[in-house]
Amino acid sequence: MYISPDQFPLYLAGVLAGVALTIVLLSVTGKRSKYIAMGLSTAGFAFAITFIVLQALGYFGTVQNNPTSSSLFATDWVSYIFGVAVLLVALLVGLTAVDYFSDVIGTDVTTFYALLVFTTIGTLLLIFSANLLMMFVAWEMMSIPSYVLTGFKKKDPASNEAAVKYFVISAFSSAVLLYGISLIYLLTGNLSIYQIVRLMPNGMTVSGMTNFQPIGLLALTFFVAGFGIKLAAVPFHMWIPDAYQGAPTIVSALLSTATKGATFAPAIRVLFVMFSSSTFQPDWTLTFAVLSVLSMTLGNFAALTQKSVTRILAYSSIGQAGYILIGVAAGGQLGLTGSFFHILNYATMQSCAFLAAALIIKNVGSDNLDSFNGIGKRVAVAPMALTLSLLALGGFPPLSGFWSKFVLFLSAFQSTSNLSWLAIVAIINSFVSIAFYVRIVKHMYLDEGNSTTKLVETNGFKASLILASAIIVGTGIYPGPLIEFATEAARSFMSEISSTQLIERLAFILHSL
Amino acid sequence: MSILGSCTDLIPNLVWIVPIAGGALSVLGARFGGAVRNAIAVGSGLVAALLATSLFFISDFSNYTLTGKILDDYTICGTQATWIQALNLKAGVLVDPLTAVLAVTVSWVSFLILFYSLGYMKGERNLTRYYFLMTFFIGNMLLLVMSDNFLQLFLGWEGVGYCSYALIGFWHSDESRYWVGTLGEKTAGVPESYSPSQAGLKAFIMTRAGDVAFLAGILIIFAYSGTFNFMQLSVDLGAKSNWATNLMSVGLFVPAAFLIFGGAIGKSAQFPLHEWLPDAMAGPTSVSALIHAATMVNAGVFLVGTVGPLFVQAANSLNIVYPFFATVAAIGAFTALLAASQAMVLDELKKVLAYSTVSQIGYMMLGLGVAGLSTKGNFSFGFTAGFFHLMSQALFKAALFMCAGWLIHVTGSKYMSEMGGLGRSMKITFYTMLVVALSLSGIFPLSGFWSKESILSAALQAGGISDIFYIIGIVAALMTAFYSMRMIGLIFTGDKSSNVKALEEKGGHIHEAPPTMWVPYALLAIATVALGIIAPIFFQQRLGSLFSAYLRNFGIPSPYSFSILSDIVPLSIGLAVAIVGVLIGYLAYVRRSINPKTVVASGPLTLGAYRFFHHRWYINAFYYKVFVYPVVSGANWLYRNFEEKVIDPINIGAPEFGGDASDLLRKIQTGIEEEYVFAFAAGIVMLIILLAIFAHL
Repeated sequence: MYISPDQFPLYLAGVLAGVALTIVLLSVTGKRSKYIAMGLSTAGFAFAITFIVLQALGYFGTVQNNPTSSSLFATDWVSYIFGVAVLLVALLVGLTAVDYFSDVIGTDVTTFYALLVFTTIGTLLLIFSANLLMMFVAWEMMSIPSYVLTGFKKKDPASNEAAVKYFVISAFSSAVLLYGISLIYLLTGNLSIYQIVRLMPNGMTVSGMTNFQPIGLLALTFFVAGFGIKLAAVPFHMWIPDAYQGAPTIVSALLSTATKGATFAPAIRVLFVMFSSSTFQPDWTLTFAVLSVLSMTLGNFAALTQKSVTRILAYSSIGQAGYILIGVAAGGQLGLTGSFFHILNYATMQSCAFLAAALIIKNVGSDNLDSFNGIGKRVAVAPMALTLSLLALGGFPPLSGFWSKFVLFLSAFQSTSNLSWLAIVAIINSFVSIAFYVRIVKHMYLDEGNSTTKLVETNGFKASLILASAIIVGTGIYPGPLIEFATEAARSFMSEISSTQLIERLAFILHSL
Repeated sequence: MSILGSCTDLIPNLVWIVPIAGGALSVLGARFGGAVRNAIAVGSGLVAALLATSLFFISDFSNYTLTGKILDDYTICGTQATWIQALNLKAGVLVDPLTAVLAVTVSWVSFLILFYSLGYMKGERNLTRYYFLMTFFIGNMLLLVMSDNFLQLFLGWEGVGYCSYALIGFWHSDESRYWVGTLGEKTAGVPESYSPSQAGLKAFIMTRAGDVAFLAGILIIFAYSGTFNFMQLSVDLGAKSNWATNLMSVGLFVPAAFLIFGGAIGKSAQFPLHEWLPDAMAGPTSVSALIHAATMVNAGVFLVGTVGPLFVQAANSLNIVYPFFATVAAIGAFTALLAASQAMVLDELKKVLAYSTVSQIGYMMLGLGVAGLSTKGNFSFGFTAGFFHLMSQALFKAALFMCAGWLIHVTGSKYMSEMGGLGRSMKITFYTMLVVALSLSGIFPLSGFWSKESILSAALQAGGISDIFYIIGIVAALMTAFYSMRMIGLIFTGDKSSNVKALEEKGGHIHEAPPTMWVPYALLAIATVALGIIAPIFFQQRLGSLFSAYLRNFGIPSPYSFSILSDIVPLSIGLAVAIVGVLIGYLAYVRRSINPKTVVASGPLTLGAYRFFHHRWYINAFYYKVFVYPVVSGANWLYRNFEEKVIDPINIGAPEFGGDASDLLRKIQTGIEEEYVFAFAAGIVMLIILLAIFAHL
């Protein structure tokens, strides 16, 4: 069977849209079986993952399309790895939703699944999009269902407040993004990311302007601000703690990983393709370095004294965004590899942490740190998974987070722009972050709780958490393939050296340590 | 053709994996009862032993037969699996004559001791931990032996170190009956008795001193060669400019060799790191037999046997590595004497055996050392002799320890002076112990005679400085024969001690050991006799040519055959010395026509020597005064002046700073949406400013 790489994302979206519509139809016809919805959606995600893997293996013909074509989509390694990561998170969340909402009054889990699949379609299209308009449409397709998901606990004021805050700030991000797109169109008369890069020098002729650079810079600003909101980068992070805390915790898992990962892919395309034209090449190294330092410092320090586990995780999400931006600041193949690698690891670590926390919060009825006391004795899988994911987020070897942080810090040290100071700030931040990551572990295992009754761990949660933990440990012990994928993806933007050469260089650096 | 078809790496890997897996399974098996657990543990020991034996059949060196067919070379068994790609590190196993000989010795002795444990440890608590650690130990020991690179070897090395530590302190609740040494006894103010947990710690820390040196040596070599792999190291030497020449040009070659030897010194309890082994006797006797007599302490000898030929090949001349081998031989000879002298005066049975072990390992080191000193270029004679003694010592020392375990159990005392006259009540134990003690003494035709005399012959043959080592070795051999006989005399002959009498009055019955216990040590006694009988042929043709082939692989020219019978003069001197030693011991402790007490008290010289030996040459006290106490008081000083005054303020201050910063940042998060939007707008302004400043368009 041959599928044109230009149309591959449409097939993908089509299949998932079918799943979503079936769930909606079931819901409308009154057959509101949440288990059928869960089965359909998780099967749909699993199928989509397989579909992407098969495409990446060349099963449907050409592996990659020509990114300079006028196609709406870029079917390349970036799309593959981010697509799989996002689908994986959606799968993890999908496995837990039935259990999570089992005792929330006034919710219809079937609808939840429909919305989950819809937002996943948006994220996938966003990842694949190579056209600014397509990107914007996908952006909205991703955002709108996610507002509803955030406010899914209809009777819970916190959930409603979170949804409204998220919606308002998101509206701003859409607005500035659209403004940025319009400025680019003004300059080049084109919307295809891979064509704009060649058109940039001719931008003057389209609008008759002789000095296009201030406008280009403004457009860049708007893109960064717009993406920054979903990436949780300081100073565009303000909505994050409130929204993550108020939203149903499993939705926070989705927002903090799938949405963020899906935003990162087009952000990198815009930055490293669209803005890398020979005449318009702004040096953003220090700007991103500042954003990175602000994000990780604020995220990590603010998390130190939080009393709520979800807020700690929310700030952790901001801090991790800071690490990811190191790679963008450092640039180069190593920097991008580090960013890609870290965001892939981050997706499993952070979603695993949120999901494990979700189970505990649902059972003890509070996300207060003190209510986590002695959980380690009351239930087996969730605290274990939470511990693993927190340690991985903190960068403990040999868990997955260690390796990607290592590559990121290395990229800063190796950067031609002399970013050693950034790496050192990041390392100090890593130390600080361990304090609050381990604090949660301490509360769970070392502190005595009020109650010792055993908690119920449902199978959906168990499956989801064990799967995520296995990935964290597995990719930690054997990070090779992930590094290779990340390198391959980075090569779409910077083919300074081949992936084997890069790995050899990494090996050499490790060796000389 | 080999019996099991082509050379495969499955079996060599299974050799070490089976006991480790067995250890883990035995823990699971404990859920179904003690019998299941014991069966799994002992069974995995047996399987490992059988697999190790099969190494001789799967490797091509099995082609060699006793009829004298000459072996040209052997096939190296084993493939490698990628371990850590970034370091280009491959895990693998290597089967050569050295590892095969070691693996077979280790695994069979281990199996017998596991079997013995069934009886010896019966009724103890925490047996799941015991069997797990024992099998885990065996697995790690075999991993150490089978590995094909330094790093994997080091993992096994540390694994056995950990098990040793944990098993010495097996009775970690430190009841006074488990203490080693006599309570209240002091040397220059330093107590000479240790609780099991302290003895474990002491062993751990002292061997760690050697391990640090070892690791440093490995890393130096790695830094210059880029590989940990033994074969690769050897192959790389083919290039004109290689790691060895580079090391030599910066003057690090011999230091690296010495650092690696440091690990061997620690693990094999050689001077100056020998003091941990006697106190390691605080562990169960089966543990002492397994770890501190027959297997782990041989690891150092094995290490020297692995790196020694490599260094010779790397140096391409014996002159450069002369200091290395001279040191090995000197330390070996001196340790042999040092430990033997102390074994003569001790009353604690297990400690006598412990010092005896230290002394015998000294002989092995001497053998390996003089191999490299041989002026006639006969490297393989000393080399073979050292490893032959290793095999032979493993047999008789394990048996001695197992006998001691029964004796201590039945009399309820660890002192030989509280036994006495036991020969009539336990014939099997008596004859077993007599045979193995005579083997230890070096009496013809037992295996101990051949192995020890071959080392001494090798020393004599090597000539030069080795003559001094030979003389030291002869003196130590005299002492060895004496203390062996003293031990037999004190335990089995003469009158029953008051302790034994009191025991019998209380209705206690001094009787023979149960079969689960006597069968293993009787078997070992038979083995030592058998090995002694076949020794002249076995040593010359089987072991000698195997090792000659092994050494030729490293470019060391070695004759395929040499005989220990040819040097009839040293053999007779050695035998005469042994007989004299045994005779003195016989007269003093069996016939009791010489009273040792009056001999000791006869003059200041003998009295002084006795005290000197008894106080462990004051080395232990010296270590405590120089290393332990200053460190402890220094640590206390640091705690009072640095920890409390400098670190604590920082420890309290830093988190407080973090907390304050955190509180400040938290205030930004007001929860008011309008302010968020304002922050967003401010962020855009900030971005524009930043980009405008830094963009460099």
